[in-house]
Amino acid sequence: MTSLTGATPLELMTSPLYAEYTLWLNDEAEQLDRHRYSEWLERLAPDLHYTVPGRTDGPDGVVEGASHHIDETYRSMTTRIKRISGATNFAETPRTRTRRFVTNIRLSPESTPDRLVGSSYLLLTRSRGLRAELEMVPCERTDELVRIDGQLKLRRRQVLVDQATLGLVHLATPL
Amino acid sequence: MSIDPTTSLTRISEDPRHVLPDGTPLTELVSLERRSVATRVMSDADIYRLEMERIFDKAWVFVAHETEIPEPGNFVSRFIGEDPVIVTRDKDGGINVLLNVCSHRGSQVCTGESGTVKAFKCPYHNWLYDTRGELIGVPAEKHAYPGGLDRTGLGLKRARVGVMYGLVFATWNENAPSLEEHYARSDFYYKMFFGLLDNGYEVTGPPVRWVEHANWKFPTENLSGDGYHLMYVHRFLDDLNLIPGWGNPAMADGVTSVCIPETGDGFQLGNFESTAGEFEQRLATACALYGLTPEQAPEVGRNLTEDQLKVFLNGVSLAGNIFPALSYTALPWPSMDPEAGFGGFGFLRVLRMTQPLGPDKHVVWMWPLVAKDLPPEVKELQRLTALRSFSVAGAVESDDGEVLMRAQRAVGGVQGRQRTFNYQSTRPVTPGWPGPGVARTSFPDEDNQMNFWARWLTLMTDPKA
Repeated sequence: MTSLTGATPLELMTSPLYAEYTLWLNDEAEQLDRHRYSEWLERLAPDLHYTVPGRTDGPDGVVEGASHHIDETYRSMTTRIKRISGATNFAETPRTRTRRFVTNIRLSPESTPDRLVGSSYLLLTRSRGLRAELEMVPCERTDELVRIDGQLKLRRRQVLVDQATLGLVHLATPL
Repeated sequence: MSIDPTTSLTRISEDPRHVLPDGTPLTELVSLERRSVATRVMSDADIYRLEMERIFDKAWVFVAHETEIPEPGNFVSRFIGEDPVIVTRDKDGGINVLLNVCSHRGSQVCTGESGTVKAFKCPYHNWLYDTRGELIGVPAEKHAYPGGLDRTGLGLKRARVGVMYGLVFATWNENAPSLEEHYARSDFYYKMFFGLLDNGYEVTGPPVRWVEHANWKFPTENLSGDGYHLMYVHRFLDDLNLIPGWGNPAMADGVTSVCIPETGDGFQLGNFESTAGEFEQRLATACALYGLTPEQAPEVGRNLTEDQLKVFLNGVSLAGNIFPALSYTALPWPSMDPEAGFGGFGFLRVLRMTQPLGPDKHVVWMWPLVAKDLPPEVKELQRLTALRSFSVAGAVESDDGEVLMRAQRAVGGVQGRQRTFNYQSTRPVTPGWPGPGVARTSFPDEDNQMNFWARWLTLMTDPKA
């Protein structure tokens, strides 16, 4: 594959790497919505840094990253997955019904076949128990994936949720 | 659930018997003799309106940590009950708490959450207020008020402010004792929890916030002293071998519950037995178990009295609540990264403010708190430990949120509202406890919660409280 540097948005969007990224994200969404969390761990690179920064309004616009809702390494993410995959917990017992709508996928021209930089929009809906209410979590995600033994693995993800006060009672699962 | 504006508060507030619209006297909601509380206090709109008037409008209420507004002109936007306030640092370094309601026509003057300003300009007619709330500018004044405008009383309403070891409190109550007087008995402990070090603590950043679906009193009475639920709601700690033996009731014996009747505050102190040895060794161990470095031990030894040291060496890992709604935790705790920190353990120190949002919801505000003098990598580990346990996605907080939400739903129906919460678990008072308040060894007891409710009932029914 040739370098994507200088590629137009249309060239980026029609590149095989874009298709691969889209498939990766769609497969991931399905995996998480089907609660296959331990399998999802296999998508993560060993030097993972996964953050969900807090957002507030400062005088000059949105302030991000001065606080965090989530800040995980590969190892702490493993503990999170173990907690919801068999340890006593109430947040995901019974499981939350989720649907991850992944859209607006973009591939950065700095991407190479071995290091993919991209972004997407995510709308996560959550419903627990018999309640009719849906929790909605709209976000923008920025990713860096690296190819390890032929497989794309997530090395960096930052998720910006479009709320300063989250409309979530809890969030024990990955976004 | 929104507040019904047609509720007849006048009838309630003027009724000397303090009776709810359905004829129930408020005094029947809490029975200190039977150690029970009517479940309807968690969903009743009339009770909620009274709480806004009689508790949040009268008590000293936490609004900010002073390290959030270090420089003149800094401000943060907060709430006292449902009233929006601006917490500012003025040019003389003083802290002000101002009602965020324009004296002109009621607009919200400050819409930012934080920042630095020279003055606050109301968006509606651009009236200008300084950081002490004084009205300093009225645009087109000569045109709008050709006869002149008397600015007396037109500043932003100012609350009384008190700062206790970095914690900023405010009250609208002109008759309340000073903050120092109010916390005179608790000071013995709060010095240890929040004022232990010469350079104090700092927040690691702005608060994170989320909405939990439970009445504000569910988490606050829990954090006042519910050690009982730790063994069951947070059993994952044993399941994942993060804290082996967690869930064994014997672990309760290593904890002391202390409550302060005068204020309604309660907390539970962990008795991690400091290793045997000389005083310096025990102090260094106690400091390490409290998120401090052994180098800080001499400073701690200097800053505490002999009695305070007895408590400190006995273990001050803890969780507690400052009535009505400022909770806090300070615990050696798994960092969730099994290979980080000292054997996978970090330390967390968290401020958790509960902002009431109607009878069945509240907003949680969470700040990790760290000692200013810690090395950066230790601060970072404590920040991560705090948010991996006590953020919206935290391993501890997420299960508490779910359980309390279920409790809120359960007691919301016609039958559910007619039940009682029962607090018959009690322990004898610990003889010879070196600190003020009432101390009891072991933690499944529900005495701290009864102390919370006693204070609640006093404020709800005694106009002179």
